[in-house]
Amino acid sequence: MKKPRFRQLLQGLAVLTQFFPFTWLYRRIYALAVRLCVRRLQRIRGVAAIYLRRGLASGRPLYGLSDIDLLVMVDNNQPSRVRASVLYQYELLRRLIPMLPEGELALYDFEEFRTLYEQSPFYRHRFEQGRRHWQRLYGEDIFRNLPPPLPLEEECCLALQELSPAWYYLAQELTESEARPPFVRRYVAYKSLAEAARALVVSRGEDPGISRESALQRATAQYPELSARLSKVQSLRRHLLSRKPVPVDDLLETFFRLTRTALAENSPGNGVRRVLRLQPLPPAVFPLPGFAEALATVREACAALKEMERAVLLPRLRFDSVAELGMDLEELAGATMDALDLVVIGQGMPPAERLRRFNSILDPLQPLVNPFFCDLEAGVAVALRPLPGRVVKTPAWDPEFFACLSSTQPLGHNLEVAAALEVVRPFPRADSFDQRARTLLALFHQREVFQITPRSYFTLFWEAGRGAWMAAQARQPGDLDVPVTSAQVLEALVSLTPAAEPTLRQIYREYCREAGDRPPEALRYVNWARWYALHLEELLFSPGQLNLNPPPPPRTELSISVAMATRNRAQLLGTALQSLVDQVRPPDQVVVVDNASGDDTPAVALSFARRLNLILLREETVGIPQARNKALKHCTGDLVAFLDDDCKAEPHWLLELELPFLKDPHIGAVGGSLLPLAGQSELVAQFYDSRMSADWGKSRGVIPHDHPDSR
Amino acid sequence: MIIQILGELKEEGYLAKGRHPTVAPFFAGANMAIRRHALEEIGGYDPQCVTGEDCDICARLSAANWELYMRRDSVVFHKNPATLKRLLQQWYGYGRYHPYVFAKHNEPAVEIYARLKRPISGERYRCLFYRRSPWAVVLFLTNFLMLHLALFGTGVAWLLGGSLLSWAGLGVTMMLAVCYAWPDLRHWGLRRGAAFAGLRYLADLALFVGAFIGGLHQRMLYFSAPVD
Repeated sequence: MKKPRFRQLLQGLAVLTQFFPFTWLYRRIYALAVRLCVRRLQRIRGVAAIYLRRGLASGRPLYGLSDIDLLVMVDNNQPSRVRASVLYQYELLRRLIPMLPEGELALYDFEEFRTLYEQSPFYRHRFEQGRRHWQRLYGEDIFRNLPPPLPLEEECCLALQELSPAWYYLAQELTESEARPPFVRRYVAYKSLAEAARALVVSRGEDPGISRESALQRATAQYPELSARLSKVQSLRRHLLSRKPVPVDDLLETFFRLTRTALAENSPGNGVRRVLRLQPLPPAVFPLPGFAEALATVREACAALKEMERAVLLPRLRFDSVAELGMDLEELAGATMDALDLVVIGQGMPPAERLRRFNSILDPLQPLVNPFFCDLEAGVAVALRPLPGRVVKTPAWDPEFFACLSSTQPLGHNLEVAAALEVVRPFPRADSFDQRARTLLALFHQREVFQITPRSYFTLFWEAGRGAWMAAQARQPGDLDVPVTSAQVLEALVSLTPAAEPTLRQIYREYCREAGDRPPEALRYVNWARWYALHLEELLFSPGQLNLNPPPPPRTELSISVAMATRNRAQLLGTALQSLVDQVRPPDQVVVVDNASGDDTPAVALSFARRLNLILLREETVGIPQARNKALKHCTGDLVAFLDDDCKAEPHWLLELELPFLKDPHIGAVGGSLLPLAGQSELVAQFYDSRMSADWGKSRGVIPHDHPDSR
Repeated sequence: MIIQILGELKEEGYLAKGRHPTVAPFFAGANMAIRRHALEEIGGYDPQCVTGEDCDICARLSAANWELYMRRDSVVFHKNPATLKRLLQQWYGYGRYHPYVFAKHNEPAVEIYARLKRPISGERYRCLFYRRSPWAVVLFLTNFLMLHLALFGTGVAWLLGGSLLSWAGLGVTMMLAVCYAWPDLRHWGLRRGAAFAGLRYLADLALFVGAFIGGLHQRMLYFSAPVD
C-alpha cells in the first residue's frame, strides 16, 4: 500500500499550502495535467470528444483534493476497440498523474449517451448539469444531438435526485474500514452537506448553476432554523486543518433535517399508475441462503442499536433499476438480488459510533441485507450502507417501501417481516414493463453477461424472469401480481411456460446450490438460464406465431478428448497416463501420438488401453504441432485437452477445465496452472522451485502462479 | 504473446483482449483445453511453430473472436529440466521460435518496447516506438539488454583509451547488474540469490541468443525480452 500513502502525503502538503504563490502553482499543475490527458487521449482514433466534469469544471476546486474527472465520448463504430485503447491510455496516465481517480473515467458512445438521457431520470439530470458545467476540452459538442434542455420546473424536481449521491459521501463516515486523513474527512463531509443544501435550494427554484458556497449561504438565509447547523458546515471547509474531530453526529442530524425539508416541499412525479399486489413472504423459507444464521446476525446487530424501536425486513424491489442504473451489469445484478432491506425505525439518528458498530456486525451479510434508517414521522429513510442507486427514500418515491412498513408480521424480539400487500405505484411510461423486460432479456444476448460472477448472473436471470412475468401480465388490465423471491419467480415462470418446467426447476436448484457456496457445479446450468431467457424473449416479443415448444436445452456435459504427444519418455508417459486414469471426471477418449520414439513408448501406452479409451498413433515428423495436429484428426470429443508427456494432472484437472466451457458458449480455450512436480532436488529444479516460491510470497492467491517457461 | 509473461495469469477469469496480438496475454500449452470446432475453424496448429505454438494458438483464437479463460484451479504438475545443459537447451529452443511467431502476427517494422513495472490489462510491455519499414528491428528495452549495452560501451571506451569514460561505464554496468539481480537477492539473500541470479542470467542469455538467431532466419533483428 505504498501508493495511497504517497498520494495522501501530496494531498496533505497541498492542503497545508493553500495560499497565494502555491495556489497559483497548483492551478498551473492541474492545467498541465489536464492538457497532458487531452493530448494523449485525442490522439486515439475514434475519440469524438473529451469533457472535464464536476469538481474542476464547476465551483471552486480545492487544489490537491479535487480529482480530475474526465468524460470521453467515442464514435459509434468499433466502440469496444476504441474503449480498450482509451482505458489503456487512461491507466498509463494514472501512473503519471496522481489526481486522476481510479475507475471514474466516464466513457460513452453517442448512442449510449442518448439512451441514458432518455431512459434514466438520474442521468438526465446529470447530463443537464453537464450542459451547464462541463468544459469541452476537445472535439464536438456532445449535447447537440440531445433533446432541448428541460423546462426549469422539471429540472427543479430532478434536483432532489442529487440527495442520494450527497448522502453517499456522508455515509462513508459510518464504516470503520478505511483510515482517511482528517482533512479529507472534513472536506468530504462538507461536500456532502453542501450538495444537499444545493439540492434543497435548487428544488425551491434557485438557478441550478449555483455554486456550493452560495447554495449554503442561500439555505442559511432561507431556513433560519437550520442556520446554526449550516454555519458549522461552513466552518468545516474553512478550518480543514483543525485538529478537532469531525462532529459526525451533528452532521448526520443536519443532513436528515435538510432532507426532510427538501422532501416535504416536493410532490412525486406523475406517471401511469398501476396496482401491484406483492406476494407474501414466508418467513421460514426466506430467499437468503442460511437464513437462520443470517437472522441471528441481524438480531445481534439490532441489539447493538439501543435507539431502535423496531426493525422490519422487507424485499428489495426495484422496478425501474434498469433505466436508473443505465444497464450496468454488475450494479444491476447487485441491486436486484434476492436481497432484503433491513429498516431500522427510530426517532432521530442514533450516534455515529453505534451505527458504525451496527454496520460492522452486518458486514458479512453484504450485499444481501442492506440496512436503512427510517424516521417514520419525517417519512424519510436513508441507507446506512449505500449501494449505488437510490439511497434516500421517501413515501412519495417509494410507495412499496413504506407500504411494506405498515403491514408486517412479527418475527420475534422487535424484528418484523413485511407481509403481502398492495401498492399503487406510478410508472414513468405506459410501456415501462415491456421496456424493462425487453432490456433485461436482451442482456442475455451479450457476451459480457457471462463475465459477471455466477451469483450476479443468476440474480439477473430471476430479475429478467420477474420482468417478463410482469410484462406478460401488464398486457391485460387489472392488478399486477408481483413475485418477490426467486422461488416465487420460479412458480410464476412455470405457469407462464409449463413446457420448460423441468429446466426451470433445475436452474433453480443450481442457483440455490451456488448461493449455498458450492461453486463448481453452479456453472453447469448457466447456459440453460441463457437459453431460457432467449426463449422467453421470443415468446413475449416476437410478432406472429408463438413457438410454445421450446427447443431442447443445451447439454450439461461435454465430451473430452485428451491429446498427448510424446517422444522417448516412456517412463514419464506412464505417470501421465496414470494421472488420467485417476481423474474424477474421466476423459472420454485419450489420443497418444508417438512422435517417432525409439523406446518402448507404444508398449507403455498400450498397457493403459484397458483402463482408458485409448488410441495410439504414430507421427514420423518430429514436432509438437505436427503431433498435435495428427491427434486432432482422430479426436471425437467436443473439447480437446492437451497434456504434455512430462506432466502429471491433478485428479480434478479435467473437471475444472470443463466448467468454464459449460458456462459460456463464447469461450474457445481454457488454460490452467502449471506447478513444479514435487521431489525434484537437482540444482536447476531447485532454481525453479525457489523462484516459484518467491512468487508465492508475492501472490495473494492460494495457489502459486505459473511456471515461467511452462510449455 | 511471446513477450507476455505467464506469471501474470495467476488470476482466474477471462484473459484481457490485447490491443495487439504481440502483447496480448496467453496461457501455457501444456495445460489447456480447446473447443474442437474452434480449433478446426482456425485450422489447427501451425506446423512451423516448433515452440511458441501456444501463443500462436491463443492469438489466433482471440482473433477469431473466441474468448480465452484462465481456470486457476485446474492444476497440472510439470517436470523441470534437471541439468544445466537441458535448461539452456530448453530456453534456447523457446527463443529460437519467438521471432517466427512475432513476425507471423506482425508486419515488418522498427519497434521498441519498454517493460512496465505493473502490467496494464495483462500487458507487460508497452510500445514506445513503432514505424513500419522493410527492415524489421524489434528491441525490448530490459535490464538484461541495458546491462549488455553498458558492458559493450565500457569495452569500446576502454579500447579507445578513454579511461575516465570506461570507469564511468563500468560503474553503470555494475549498477545495472545489481538491478538485474535484485529480485533474487532480495528474496534469497546474498549467496543463494547470487547463484540463482547467475542461473537466470544463463537462461536469459540462451533465450536471447536463440531469439537473435531465430530473428536472423526471419530477416529481422530481434533483441528478445527475457522470460521472467
